[in-house]
Amino acid sequence: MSEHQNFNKALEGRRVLELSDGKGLYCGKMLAELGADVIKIEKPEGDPTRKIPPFKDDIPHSEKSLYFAYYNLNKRSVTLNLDCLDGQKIFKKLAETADIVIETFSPGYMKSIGLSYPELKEINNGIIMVSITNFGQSGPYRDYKASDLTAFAVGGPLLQSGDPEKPPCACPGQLAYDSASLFGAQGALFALYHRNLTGQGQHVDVSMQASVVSATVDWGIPAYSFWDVAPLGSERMPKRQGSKGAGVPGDIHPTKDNGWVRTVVLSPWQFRRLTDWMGNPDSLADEVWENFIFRIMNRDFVEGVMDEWSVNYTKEELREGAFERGIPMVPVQSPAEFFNDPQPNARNYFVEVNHAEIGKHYYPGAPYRLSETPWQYYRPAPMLGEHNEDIYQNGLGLSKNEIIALRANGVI
Amino acid sequence: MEKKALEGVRVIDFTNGAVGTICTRRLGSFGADIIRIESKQYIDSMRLMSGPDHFHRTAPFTSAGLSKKSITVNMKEPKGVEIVKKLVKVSDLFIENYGLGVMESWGLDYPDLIKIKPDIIMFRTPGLGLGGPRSMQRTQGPLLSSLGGLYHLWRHPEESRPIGSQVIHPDFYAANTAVMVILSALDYHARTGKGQLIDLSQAETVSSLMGPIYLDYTVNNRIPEPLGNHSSFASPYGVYRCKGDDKWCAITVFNDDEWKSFCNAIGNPAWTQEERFDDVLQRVKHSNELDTFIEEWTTQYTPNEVMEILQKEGVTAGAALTTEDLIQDPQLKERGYVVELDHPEAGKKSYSSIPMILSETPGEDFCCPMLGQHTEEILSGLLNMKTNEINQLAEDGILA
Repeated sequence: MSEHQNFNKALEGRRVLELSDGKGLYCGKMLAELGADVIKIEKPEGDPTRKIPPFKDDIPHSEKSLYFAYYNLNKRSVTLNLDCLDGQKIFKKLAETADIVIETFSPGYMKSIGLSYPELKEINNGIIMVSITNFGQSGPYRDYKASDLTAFAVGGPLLQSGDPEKPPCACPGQLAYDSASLFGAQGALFALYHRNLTGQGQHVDVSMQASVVSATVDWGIPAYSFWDVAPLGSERMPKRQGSKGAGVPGDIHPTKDNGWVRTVVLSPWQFRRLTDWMGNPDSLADEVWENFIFRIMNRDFVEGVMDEWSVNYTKEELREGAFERGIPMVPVQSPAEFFNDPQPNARNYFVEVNHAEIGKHYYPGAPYRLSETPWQYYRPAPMLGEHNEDIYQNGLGLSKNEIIALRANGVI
Repeated sequence: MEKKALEGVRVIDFTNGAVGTICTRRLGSFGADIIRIESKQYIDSMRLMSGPDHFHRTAPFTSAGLSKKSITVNMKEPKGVEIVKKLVKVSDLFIENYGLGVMESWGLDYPDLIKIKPDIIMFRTPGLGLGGPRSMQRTQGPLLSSLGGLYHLWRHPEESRPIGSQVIHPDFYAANTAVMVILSALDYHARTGKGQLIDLSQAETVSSLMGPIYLDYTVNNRIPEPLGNHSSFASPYGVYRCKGDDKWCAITVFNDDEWKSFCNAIGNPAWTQEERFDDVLQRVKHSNELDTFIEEWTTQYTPNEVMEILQKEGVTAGAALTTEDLIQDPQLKERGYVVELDHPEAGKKSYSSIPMILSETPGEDFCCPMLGQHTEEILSGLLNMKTNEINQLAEDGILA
C-alpha cells in the first residue's frame, strides 16, 4: 500500500485482526474509527463479551449487549476456532494480508497454537502484533489474573480515589481495560510509522498494569522522586482527599437545584473575580487570601464560604456567570445532562447508529476531529459471524462446501 | 544506537499545562524531534508549581518535559514570530494547547500555517474542542470529568455526593488519545502527502470512556446510577480492607469455579458452605454479608499477602498500591517501567516511562530541558544562523 491514493479515512486499507477480550476491545474500536478494516475473530459460539450487560430492554441476547454494541462499532466479525489445526491454518491465511494483529491471550498461548510473533512474521514480514496482557509477557506476575478493578488497584489510582475516611472508590466504566487498549493502539501506530520507513514489522508487548499507571498516576513517581528538591506540598505521598482537587476553591459545591458545581480556582485574579461576583464578602476581603498557599492552609474555611454562596444559584446560573467572568467553574453533569449539552452536540459528538437488533439510537462518538479524514461511523457492531461469507469465500476463496464442512466440524 | 520509530519527524510544541505537554513527550519518547517554544518572561505554570525558584526541576514539568528541546522566543516581537514561522517550514507537526485565540493572534492559526507549509499537521486541544458555543471556556482537568458525566457517577452507591479522585486521568487519557490520532494522521500523510487539522475535546474523551453507560441511557432510557466498587452481576467483587492503616486489596470472582478456588485459598471456613453463598445468584443477592465475612479474613493480611495467597489458587486479586509500592514493584521493575535519568540540578531522579515495549523501536526518554537550553543549537543547526546573528537577536530581546 505505498501508492498515493485518494482515500478519506486516515487508516484506510489497513487491516487489523482482533482476538480480544475486554482489554483489547477499545484498541480495535479506535483503529476502526480511524478507518482501519478491523476483523473481530470470535469463537464459533460467540465472543464471551456478548454476554456483558446492559442489554437492550434488559433481555440477555447475543446481539443485544449494549457493551458489545459500543465497543465493536465499525468492526466486522468472523467466527473461528483457534484450538484446532484447521482454525490455525485459516488464521495464518488471514495474517498474510493483515497489517496488525491485536491479541489479549495469556502470555504463551499464541505460541502454544503456533501463532507467535516469529511464526506470523514468517508468513508476513511486516506484520505488527500487539499483545495486551495483564502484566506483560514476562516477570514475576506474568501469570497473575486481573480484572478491570484489580488492575485499577495495582496501577495506583484506586488508593487515591474517594473519601479519606472511607474505602477507596473505583472509577465508573472500565478505565484499566481502556488504558491498555489505548497504549496498544499507540504501539501499533508507532510501529506502523516505522514500517512505512523500513518495511519492518514488530511485536508490541503491552502491560495493563503499566498502562494504568501511565494513564492515571504517571506524575506520581517523579513527584515522589523530586520531593526532596522541589516539593509540591507538605506530604510526599498525599492521601486521597475526596472531592477536593486542584485549586482553592477546588471542590464541589451545592446548587439551588440540588446539583453541584466544581471549581478549580488557582490564580489571584481568578480568585478576585470570584469574590467580586460573590459581592466582596468581608471574610475574604483581606489581600492575604489571594495567596494560594494561604488559601490551602485555610482550605475548609474558603470551601465553606463557597458552599454558602453557591447554594443560592442554579447550576446553569453558575455556569453562565463563570463563563462570562473567565472563572474555571462548571456544573457536575450527569450523563443525561452531557447528552443534552449544546457543546458536544454542536460538534456532532453523539451519532445515531442503526443496529438491526438494538434499533436506531445515539452513541457517544469519537472525541476528536480530523479535517481531511474525519472519524466515521460506517457500520454498527457486527452480528456473530456476519462477515464469514465475505471474508472466507470472497476473501480467502474457500468454496461453499469447504465452509459447510468447517462449520460442521466446529472450526468456524 | 536504538532505532527510533518517529525518525525524522519534527514537532513545533506550543504546549503548556498537562494535555499538550504529555502528548508531545510521548512523541519525543519515540524519536520525534520536539521543539518546545518557551519564554523567559512567561514561564509555563507547570514549571512554577513548586515556586519561582524551582522552574527547572518541578516534578510535573520534569516528567511532561522529557524528551524535548527548549528554545525561548519573545512572541510579542515580530522577529520572534518570524523565527517560529521559519521553524514551521522545516517541521511536520504543530501541536498547541494554549487557549483559543492565542495562535490566531500570532498568525499561527491553521490557515496561516498551511501558507508556510501546505502539508503540515496541526493539532489543537482546547478543553471543549474547536467549534460550539462553549469552545472559549477555560478548563482544567477536574472540570472535564465533571462536564463529561464521569464525576457525577464516581461514588459509592449509598452516597448522595460525588466524590471522584485526585487523579487527573482525563489529562493523561486525552493526551495519549491525541498521540494515537496524530500517529494515524502521520500514516495518512506518509501515504498521500496530505496534512490536516486535528482537534480533540477533552470533555468528550471522558464520556467516550463511558460508552455502555451512555447507551443504557439512550437505548433503555435508564438514568445511570453509581456502582462504586460493585458489579451488578458478580460477587465477591470489591475492595477489601487489609492489615494496616488504609490498606486495601481488590478481589473479583466471576463464576462457580473461581468461587471454589477462592474458598480453597482462604482455607474453606465454615461460612463458605452456607446456602446463601451457594451459587452465583445467591452470592450476588447476599453480597453485603459475603463482603463482611471476606473482610474478616483479609484484615489478617497485608494487601500483597492477600494478592499472593489468592493468585496462587488462580483467584483474581490486586493490591491497592501506593506510589512507593509502584517504584518498588517487582513486576514494573522487570519491565524497566520506572526509569532513572540524570537531571542537571537534581541528580538521578525516577520517572514513569513507557507502558508498551516495541521489539524493534523500544522508545527511550531523555531528561527535560532547562529553560531555553537549545536556543543556540536550534537557531544555528536548523535555521543556519551565525553566532553574531544569534547574539544580535538576544541583545534585541527576541530570545527572551
